[in-house]
Amino acid sequence: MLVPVTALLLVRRVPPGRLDLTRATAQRWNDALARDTTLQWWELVDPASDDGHPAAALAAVRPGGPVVRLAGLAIPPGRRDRAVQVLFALVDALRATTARTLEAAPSADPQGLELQDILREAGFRPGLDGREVVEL
Amino acid sequence: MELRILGPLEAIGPDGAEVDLGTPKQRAVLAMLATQPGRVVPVQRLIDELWADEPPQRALASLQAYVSRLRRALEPGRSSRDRSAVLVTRAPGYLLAVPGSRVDAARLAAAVQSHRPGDDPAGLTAALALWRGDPLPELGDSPLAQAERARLQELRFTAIEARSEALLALGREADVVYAGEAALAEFPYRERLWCHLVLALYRTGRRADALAACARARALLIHDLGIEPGPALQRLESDILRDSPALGGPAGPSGLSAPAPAPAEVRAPQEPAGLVGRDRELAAIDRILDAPGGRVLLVCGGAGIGKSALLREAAARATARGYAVGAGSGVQGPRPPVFLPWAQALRGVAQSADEGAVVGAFAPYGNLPAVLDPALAEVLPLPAPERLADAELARSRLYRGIVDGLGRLSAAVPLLLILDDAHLLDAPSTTLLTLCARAVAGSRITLAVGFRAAEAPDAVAGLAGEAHAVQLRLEGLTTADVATLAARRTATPVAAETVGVLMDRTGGNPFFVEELLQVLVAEHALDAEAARRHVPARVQEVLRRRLARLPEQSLAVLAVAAVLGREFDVPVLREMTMTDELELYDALDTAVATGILAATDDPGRLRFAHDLLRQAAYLDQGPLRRARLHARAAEAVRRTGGSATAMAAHLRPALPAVPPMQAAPVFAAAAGEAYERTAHAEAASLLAEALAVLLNAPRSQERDVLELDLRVRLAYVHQSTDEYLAAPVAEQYDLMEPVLRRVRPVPQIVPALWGYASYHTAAGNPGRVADLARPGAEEPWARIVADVHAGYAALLAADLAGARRLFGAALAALPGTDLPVFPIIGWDPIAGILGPAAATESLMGDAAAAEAHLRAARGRRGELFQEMYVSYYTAIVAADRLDAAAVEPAAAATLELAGRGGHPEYRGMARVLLGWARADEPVLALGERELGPALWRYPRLLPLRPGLVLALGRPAEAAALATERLATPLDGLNRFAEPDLRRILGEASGDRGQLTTALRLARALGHVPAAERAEAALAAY
Repeated sequence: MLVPVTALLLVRRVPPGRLDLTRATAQRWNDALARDTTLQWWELVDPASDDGHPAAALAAVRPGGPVVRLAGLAIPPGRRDRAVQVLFALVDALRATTARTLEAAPSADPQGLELQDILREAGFRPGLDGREVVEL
Repeated sequence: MELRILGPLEAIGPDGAEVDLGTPKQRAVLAMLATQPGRVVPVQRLIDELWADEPPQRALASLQAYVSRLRRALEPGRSSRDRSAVLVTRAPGYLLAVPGSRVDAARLAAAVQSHRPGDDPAGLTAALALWRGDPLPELGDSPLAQAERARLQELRFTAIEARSEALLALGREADVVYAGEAALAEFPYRERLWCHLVLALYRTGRRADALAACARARALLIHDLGIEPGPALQRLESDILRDSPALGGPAGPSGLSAPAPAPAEVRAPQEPAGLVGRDRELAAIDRILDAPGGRVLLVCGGAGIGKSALLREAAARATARGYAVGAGSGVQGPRPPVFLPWAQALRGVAQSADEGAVVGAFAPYGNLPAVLDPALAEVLPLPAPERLADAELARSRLYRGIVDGLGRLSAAVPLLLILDDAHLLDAPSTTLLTLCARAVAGSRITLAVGFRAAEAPDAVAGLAGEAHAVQLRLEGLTTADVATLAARRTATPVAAETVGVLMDRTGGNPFFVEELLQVLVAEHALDAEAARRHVPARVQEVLRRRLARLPEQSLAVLAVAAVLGREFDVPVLREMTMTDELELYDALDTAVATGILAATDDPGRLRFAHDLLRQAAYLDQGPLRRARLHARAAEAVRRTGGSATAMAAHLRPALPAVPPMQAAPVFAAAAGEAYERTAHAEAASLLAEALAVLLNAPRSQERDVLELDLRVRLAYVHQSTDEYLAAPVAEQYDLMEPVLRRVRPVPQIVPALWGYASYHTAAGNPGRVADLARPGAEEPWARIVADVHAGYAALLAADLAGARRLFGAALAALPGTDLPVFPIIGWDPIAGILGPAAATESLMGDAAAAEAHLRAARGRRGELFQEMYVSYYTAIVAADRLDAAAVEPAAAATLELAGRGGHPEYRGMARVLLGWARADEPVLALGERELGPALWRYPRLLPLRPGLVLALGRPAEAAALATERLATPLDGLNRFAEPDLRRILGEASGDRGQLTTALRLARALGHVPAAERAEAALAAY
């Protein structure tokens, strides 16, 4: 098959009906992130799966006008590829909004991911104060 | 909206305010589009220019996002579902739909083009005022940006020169001096401007300054460029020194307008050899091959559209004209072999041209062709070319030598060089192609280049701008062409329906058509159904590659859309993907820009460019995923208010992923929709499908109830189209019986119970009904069903009093709760009691009670079947009284309703009654023929024809008819026919005995109207 199955995952803002499921899923992978109720969640999902099926990967952001801050990722253990994929998709999705910059602090890394490498792989570049940024 | 690119990009909104165009990359996208307002800029060109270092999928996603943002900026009031009117998606890219008059560069160009010698320079002055600085800084230093900037600068200076000329013609020399000095400070090597400045100085009496200006120009040109001034400036200087009288007049012709190209010789088009639907393109190729001088022929279009076939045909036609022909093709892959396409082409040329001519043409350079194709080292007796240590110089020498050698060769023999799949060329081959394209003008070389416009690098696509280029853009074949192609490939005429399917699925793409035909021919199945089914493997590979170029988000969305069908509703897709509307439209827009989807007249609907594309996206997902997506699609259709028919279409392929108890009711609802539009066969098929699905569920009370519901629906549908007691009806009621026996009577099974009871009563088995209806069960309607059908049974036994009692009991027992819902026929069971109750009262002579029941039944009219049923009873009760005036409208209404809803028996009965009421014997006879043997189930219809014949004054015939009908044993319900038949026989034959018997039988039956008629006949005897 020429088209990889992972390509059939899409990213979307978590619909209201899936927020509880999202928090429960995030709790398994990144408990600290799951406790923050002010975040906006984005999920990488297979649109063919049931509504009750957890996301393949989650990204939490803190919207703030032109600058959106990446609060963290919740990824199944060992699925670094999903982290990169959700970030790529998130950047694309945010480009369709009014945000101008997505920035991340690689220190916030409770899952033990090599977050800086992942961010770089997803197109982030060094910014001020040790932050990683993507110009949208 | 106004766009300014003659300086930093600016967009001015309708309110006069400057629009915020966002990030530099975003501005660059708009700047690219603004360089060609009203023309499509291919996605690939945008990507090559702005994201050259990113993978194609990422680049496409970024482009999609910026286009989306630009649209929001340029059209702030537009909703995401409305199509953009400014930044339009049109395959293979995007188009800025702004009139040229709203883009400064286009206004400058228009001012230059429209200016004629002698015109007022005001237009040019205004246009030049639009220049605000270096244009297109957003595009950086890419080759395209440099070329575009150079073009705009050239345009500006052409305008300055033309304005300067016009000012000189008007005697405004001071203005020329002022503007000329300023312009020359910027571009000091424009000799024409120097000429204008010198002339203006001279005419204002500043002869010394004019000569000084000539000296400045000469010094500058010699110092900076090492060249002497051109003849015009030298002649001007000489004229000034001589004070030539010619200097007093205006300057010479502007030379702004390019000479018109020489008309090409036109030959009669040749008969296409094997190519279908390309007559126009072949005629163009003929003209090019027959014209003197070189040309660049560009053949572009999508994969499989027929570029290669057209180029092969061009090669054949060129060979026939004595051309030497060489052809090469680009190679797919990350690192295509360097120069391979050129090596192939040169080998072809070397083989088809005279060897001496080839050797002579390349002699000054040595065997350069062998550098590209080592096989030519032995073929061409030429020394090896000089080896140069500098690689750049060596490559430059190679390019020049090849181009020059080919040009020299073309002096001996015209050449056709074909480079197909040029979108795949390696970089050096592309460079050689562009150099060769520029050199063909002075040669007899036709350079034919085939490429996919959407994938071609800018250098290849840009060849269209060469002066001697002719571009043929290939589109899909027409339906007529597809029919011709199909007939030619299969050597047999192909049905129009099959051609229609081929067209729909392939979009007229000849490669796809031929591949599909091959499969169909191999399977000996050249029909529309087979054409819908197949996706040839080679076609699928081509389409997969095309899809794989999309960003992941677009691909994921398209995979979902493929499940919805070739044309789909975006709101349904949104429901399935649960994405934001804006994000969804962005993802789909990329697919539109790349030609995978196309817009429809409805902004909420999109369609795949052809069905094979949809199927490629569909089939690559695996059966289980497809099933799950179909299940989601069915749910999305429901949530967005779609029809059960549309839901059923998705549930069918979703069945592995959907519980049978969930799917079966949807099929039943779809059957109801089919029944409503009188598609009875489709309704029956859907119900059979629902039953097949349901029976996969484990047995339970719930399943039993649903099974009864489906079976009674199916029986009703068959009763609408077949006879009331037809075999498919009997089959359903037989299969229902064991289920009815084990299910506890609940309201939901009342319709099944009623249908079963009615069927068996009509079939003469009332005993089976009483057994099943279980009077006394907790469901009150079960008892009512039992009473009603016991009433029918009493009628069958000619027990009118018993029937009256039982119908009365049923009406008295009606509960105050909601009525059971009868599917398909929308039956009201109360009307179902009132009808036979009215008929019973009528037979018993209580016309008032009969009318009261009918009035009550008419008050309950609802669905079509019920209206027909009540009309029929109204007619039959009136017929009991021989009241033709009352029968006529009721029978006519019954006939009309039966015509709309099927029900052949009601149609026959209505015709019998109508024919009798109108004294129209043919209609009556037709009704009897339609009923056939079923006539004998409707005893009150039996005497009508003999009675009418008698009334029409044919007593012998009436007597014969009555005798014939009496000869058949009249039992059961038919006993009610006997009194009237005997009375008619007695009246027709003058047999008093028959009249006496009629009276006796009528009295015995309690058939009051018949008894009254017999009494009257006896009295009249």
